[in-house]
Amino acid sequence: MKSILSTEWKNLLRMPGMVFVLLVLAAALGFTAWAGLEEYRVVARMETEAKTHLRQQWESMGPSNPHSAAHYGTYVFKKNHALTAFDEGVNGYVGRTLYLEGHRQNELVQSDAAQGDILSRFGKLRPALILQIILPLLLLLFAFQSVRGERDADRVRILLVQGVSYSKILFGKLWSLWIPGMLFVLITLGIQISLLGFSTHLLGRALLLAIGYGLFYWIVIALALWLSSKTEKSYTALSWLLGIWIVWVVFYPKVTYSVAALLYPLPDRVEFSAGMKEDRSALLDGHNPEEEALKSLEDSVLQAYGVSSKEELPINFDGLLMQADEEFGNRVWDKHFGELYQQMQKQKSLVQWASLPNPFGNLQSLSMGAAGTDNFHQVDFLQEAESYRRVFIRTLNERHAYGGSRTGDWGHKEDQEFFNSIADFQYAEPPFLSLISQQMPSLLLLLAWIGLLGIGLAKVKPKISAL
Amino acid sequence: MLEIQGVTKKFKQQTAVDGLSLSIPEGEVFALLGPNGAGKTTTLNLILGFEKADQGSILVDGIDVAKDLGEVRKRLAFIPENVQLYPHLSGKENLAYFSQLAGIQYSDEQLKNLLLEAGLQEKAHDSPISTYSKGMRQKVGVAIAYSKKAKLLLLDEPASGLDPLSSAELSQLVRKVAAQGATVLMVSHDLFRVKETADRVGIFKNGELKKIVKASEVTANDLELIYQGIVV
Ligand SMILES: Nc1ncnc2c1ncn2[C@@H]1O[C@H](COP(=O)(O)OP(=O)(O)OP(=O)(O)O)[C@@H](O)[C@H]1O
Ligand SMILES: [Mg+2]
Repeated sequence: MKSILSTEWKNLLRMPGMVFVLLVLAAALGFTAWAGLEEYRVVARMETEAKTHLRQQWESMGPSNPHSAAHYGTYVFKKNHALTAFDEGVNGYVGRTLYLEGHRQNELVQSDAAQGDILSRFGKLRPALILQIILPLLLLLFAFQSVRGERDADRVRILLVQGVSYSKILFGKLWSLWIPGMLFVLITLGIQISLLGFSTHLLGRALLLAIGYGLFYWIVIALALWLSSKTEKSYTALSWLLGIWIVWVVFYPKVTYSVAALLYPLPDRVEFSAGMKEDRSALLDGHNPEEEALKSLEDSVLQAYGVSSKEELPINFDGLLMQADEEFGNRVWDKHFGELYQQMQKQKSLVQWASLPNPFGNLQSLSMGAAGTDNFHQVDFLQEAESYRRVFIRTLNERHAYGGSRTGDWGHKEDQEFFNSIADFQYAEPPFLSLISQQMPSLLLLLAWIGLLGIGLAKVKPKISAL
Repeated sequence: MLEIQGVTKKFKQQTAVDGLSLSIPEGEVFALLGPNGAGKTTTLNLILGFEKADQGSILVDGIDVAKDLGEVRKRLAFIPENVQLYPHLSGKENLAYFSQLAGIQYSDEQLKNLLLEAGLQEKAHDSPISTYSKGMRQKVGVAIAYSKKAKLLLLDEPASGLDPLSSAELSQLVRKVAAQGATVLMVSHDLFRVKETADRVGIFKNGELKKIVKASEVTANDLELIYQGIVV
């Protein structure tokens, strides 16, 4: 095997133009890796600055009314995952800044969420783009060329007469291409990670990326070797391979996403907010204290304190009222968002499983997932931000209710210390294990391909060209 | 060394080899002489195990090709009609690689000696094979045969495309291989070259072995037999 590897490498390196190809590839990877890092840093710095600035404003607000503060609101940022420098995924066009406010459950849900995964390919240049499309295409061509060479130069017979099996030659060729392909992936990841600063978290994700790309390259090379050995005329294999490539990369993803969108349609943003509004107006609204449901809340509070009017309450009833309204709004949001989320999950798993004939789709899903830039991460951010908003608003409402003011007193002010005690939003990305389980179908499908092609390579008979 | 018994090979309707029986003793150079499409290459492929005979048996050094192809191939070397090898590797690198595949690791010095033994001048050893002439590539092929100590060397149309000088050189080389104890089976349609190289000649047409004669005794009559039906 060692001698096959070294011979294949000599053959590759001495191919005319090879050095040029390698240089261009390395330069393209270097450039995109740098550009990705640079942009990640600039965005991260800007966000940190904005965040600090906003917090400063919050902390220098001075004594204020809690309800005004709830309307003053706050901004939260989805901190970009560092590996966005590797694969930008959906990050290029989804909102990553949310404005959080009292009784306004955020609606910033991507209605075209499922389309997200496909659009990403036309996003910014990132190493992932080169490592997903250009490098594998080169590997495919080299694999084809390598088998074609043996066939057309009538070397197959001489090789086999030396006592080596054809499958051993094929596996030698497979590894001889897979290893350099993986070197490009590992070096790119290695450089980016070392510049980003090592952390076990980052390493885990980088490992998942490396595994994904490794499996995919294996599949591409094995398929090319197998097909090139199989066809009657060696060049027929090339047409097949290029055809398969175009279907994988261009047609198939489009078709599956369209089918998913047809089967599990998502409301667009207007429909989504209209639906929420409708459900909300069906019940109470904190600013119109005439509703019936409100009456019963009022009655029970009055009863609990043993008084007969709101004005006699030792607390500020407006705070309770607003919180009740808030919680109703939350239920509406949960219902609508839950439905949307389910539809998205259905779309996602349909697309994932429908990628059985398309390992490229599986790689994309894995790559974005591991880089923390897919829709799963985006939705997770929205949910985290919404949970934060709820705690944030509840804290303010409760202060409004129990902070010493009486019902109807909108001028009461809390001091700065109270506002300072409300923590800033910190986005924590989903745990590694949930990422793995999310990506399991993709991993399994890639492994299934490897199993099939492994058998194919072990069994394929060489074509003896010369008569 | 080579025993072929009643071998028949059919491709669909066409019978490429028809009941071929042939016995070649150790150290002999035997030539199968026949026109295009006679079934010469098919015969070689049958011996090499790339085609399976429909009938009959082939024994190399007493071993049945159908039963233990691996052992048979250890004893074989093959130089195809248009021997290419790896164009970007030098003669020496090609020889090193092919002998490694056969499980033998040679030193640089040994490789050099094998190539010299096969008649390849030393100054060519390290140039890429793409710069070699066909005759030079055949010599690397012979060096490969030497390197695995092949007992049976099979050559397909070795003389086609060689100029008279290289061709004569090749004849000498083949004779030398045989003199060192190996058996040679070459197939060709070039009577002149065959007469110069072989000990015996089998006249082969439509998959049938018509006649076996001593190379020195091939006559015009035999020639006629060969060329009947080909030339208008
Ligand atoms: N794999 C195959 N499938 C179908 N027919 C074949 C195959 N190999 C050889 N033949 C046919 O068998 C016959 C003998 O072919 P073969 O190549 O053995 O002839 P040959 O004597 O080597 O001719 P040439 O001098 O042209 O090399 C030819 O008619 C050829 O078309
Ligand atoms: Mg032939």
